[in-house]
Amino acid sequence: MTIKDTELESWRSLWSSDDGSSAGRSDAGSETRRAAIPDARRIAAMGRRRLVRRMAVEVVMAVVWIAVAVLLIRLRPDPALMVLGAGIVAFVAVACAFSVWNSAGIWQPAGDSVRDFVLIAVERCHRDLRAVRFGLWFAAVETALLVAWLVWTSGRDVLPEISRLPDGWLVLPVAAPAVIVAWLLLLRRRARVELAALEGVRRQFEDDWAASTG
Amino acid sequence: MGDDHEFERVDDSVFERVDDLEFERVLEEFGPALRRLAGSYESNSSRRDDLVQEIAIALWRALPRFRGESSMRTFVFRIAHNRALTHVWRRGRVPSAEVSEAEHVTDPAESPESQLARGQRRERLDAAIRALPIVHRQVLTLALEDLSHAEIGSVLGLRENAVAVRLTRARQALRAALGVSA
Repeated sequence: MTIKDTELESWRSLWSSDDGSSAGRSDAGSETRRAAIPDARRIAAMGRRRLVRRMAVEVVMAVVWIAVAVLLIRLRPDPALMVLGAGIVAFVAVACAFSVWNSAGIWQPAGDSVRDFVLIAVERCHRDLRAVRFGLWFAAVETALLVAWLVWTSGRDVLPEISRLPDGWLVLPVAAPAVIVAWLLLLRRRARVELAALEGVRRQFEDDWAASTG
Repeated sequence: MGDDHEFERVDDSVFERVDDLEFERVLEEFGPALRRLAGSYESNSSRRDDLVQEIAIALWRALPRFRGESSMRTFVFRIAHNRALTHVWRRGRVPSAEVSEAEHVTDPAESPESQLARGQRRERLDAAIRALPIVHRQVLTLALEDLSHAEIGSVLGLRENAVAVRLTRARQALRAALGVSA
């Protein structure tokens, strides 16, 4: 025998009703469809382009830095230039290896459920924060080693080509790390806000998930 | 410029795999439910429209992955709830039980006539559902869409008994928000 759940039925009837102003309009399907299709095409295309662009920027940056390193090593047989070139190659290799390691296993959730989605989103936030920590350490170590190299080569005209650069060129090596650090700090702030919200959802789900996997 | 053109070409080839008619059919069938779902996350009409739009885009992307392992209904609600969650936490505000207490639901006793108006009761139900913590809201809106416990479990990644427990708690919370005694 089935007991009729009148309370749920009355809520259900109200929930599905057409109130003329809210969610239940009868033409909502057509309206959603008409509005969604052109924008879905455009926004999906934009999202893919952004992903491809980001990957392309990372690859181009790596290639440019490797080219600079090769150029320095081949410029003249000077141990200081070889050390600088080898250092650049090593840093690019470390950055690429970190990028591959840090993004492993987070491309797809384990399943399609909300639980899988929340778990992968939390993991992605943690990876973003790890990337920021790595970026800040990376920038600090890179700067320290560069300063050490400059001290080591001071008094020797290792790169006379620099004197041919226009006045004020030094702004670039100072401004670039500052911009990168500012960008990393902004990323960290965003990731922390997102993670706090996600953890709120995860906490709400935790008991039920534990019961469902136990 | 050349690169952009190349990317457009790649995207077009992806779109060709997506069955436009299937997408239209899904939105035709589930459009009202998606608008109701969006209404349980956003009270502001333009933000609700934005959320419906985001859900439609997510569906557009996800439909080629649908292999019929679950029903289309559970597939659509999974995508929709996942997108709605993203929408909420990107805005950095996930209501908790504490927040929900702060949200005000109008007392119908102030206006006996308006209680009879179905639209107003509907608005009140919407507001009460929006005031619930997300876990209660999700399980309740899925139940209101007439999904079985097994289907709700499939959408949320829970066992059926966990769904039943969660639904009981959600109903208690909704009764409290509406000022109805059990």
